[in-house]
Amino acid sequence: MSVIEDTGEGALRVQKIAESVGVREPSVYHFFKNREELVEAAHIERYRRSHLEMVRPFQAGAALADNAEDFRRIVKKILSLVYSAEREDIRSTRMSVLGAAQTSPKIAEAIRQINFEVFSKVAEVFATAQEKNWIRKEVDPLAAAYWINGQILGRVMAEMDKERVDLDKWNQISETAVSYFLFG
Amino acid sequence: MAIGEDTRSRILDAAIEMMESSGEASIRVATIAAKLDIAEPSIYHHFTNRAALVEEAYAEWYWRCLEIQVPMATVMALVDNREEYLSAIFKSVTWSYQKDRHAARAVRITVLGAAQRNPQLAKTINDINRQFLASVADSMKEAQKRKWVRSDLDPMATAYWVHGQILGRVVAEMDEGFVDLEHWDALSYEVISTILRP
Repeated sequence: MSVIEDTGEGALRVQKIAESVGVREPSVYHFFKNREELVEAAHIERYRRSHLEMVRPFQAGAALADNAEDFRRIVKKILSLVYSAEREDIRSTRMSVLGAAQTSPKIAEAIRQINFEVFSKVAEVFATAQEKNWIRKEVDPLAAAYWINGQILGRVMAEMDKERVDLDKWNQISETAVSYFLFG
Repeated sequence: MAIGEDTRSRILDAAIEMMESSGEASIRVATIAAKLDIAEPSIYHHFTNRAALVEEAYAEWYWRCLEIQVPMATVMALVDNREEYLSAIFKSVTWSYQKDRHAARAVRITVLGAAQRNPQLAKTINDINRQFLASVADSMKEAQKRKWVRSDLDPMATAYWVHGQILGRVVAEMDEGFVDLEHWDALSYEVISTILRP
């Protein structure tokens, strides 16, 4: 996976991976039938990590929040991390993996499991905040987790067209929307 | 329609059909030729190579699923006040939420996903997005003039944002039975309305 991140998918050579983890090439093929399967598995794993990278700080931030205002600040902070320029590539990977999942039942199943894992975690944080009256009662925590994830996909489409879309303005709209969505 | 054009669109149809059932990797020029009962070179007469064919098939597929959207120019001619306009925007989004439209929504993610790893396709898809969303943005500008939509919203950014809702819905649908889609929809409409309303 780190080979893909550093040099792109095209540079992924099975031999190099074997070298970097200190095994012989045939051992890599023991786990993955061919190069395509390895690339696919790497993208799926990247998809999973890209979510967890944001979910963990969110869980931690929420656990440290003392009041509704703290919680709002955390949400805003996480959102600005999620939309940061450095994460453009990882956002693009998400769209790419989700795209591949639409025509591959195998990838779709892997993605469903990851979504379930990560969105349940986000939903748990929302549910706890709801008990404390920090977010509105009408919002179903799990639906909220999915809905917010959808914002990120919309961002990918917008940033494909940077010349025409003012991304700061797009961010403002999304931030207002998320804030209204959670807090009313 | 010229005979050549007809062959070209039949080739694209066949390629789209293959992508629909088993993805991009399943497209084989030889299989298409056999299926349409034409010689392989005549496929290369229309498309420089397999990559060009795949790219055009993606673009055509994407365009078809946008075409079924309610055209915003028509909508503007039919609405007389703010409530009617907001409800029309909702309908244009709900329209795509219909159950039988799932395939069209999934196509968007498939093609946008493929575009992430194919710069040439990304450019083509971008042009389609612009063209389509510019009409939504134009309607938004007009609605702002009539004070139906908040004046401080950037029309193009808003058009992209509203359209992005549809992509999120696809992911929620992938996990059917797990997410309450009706609740998801209700929340989505509520937020769109809050964002747009002055």
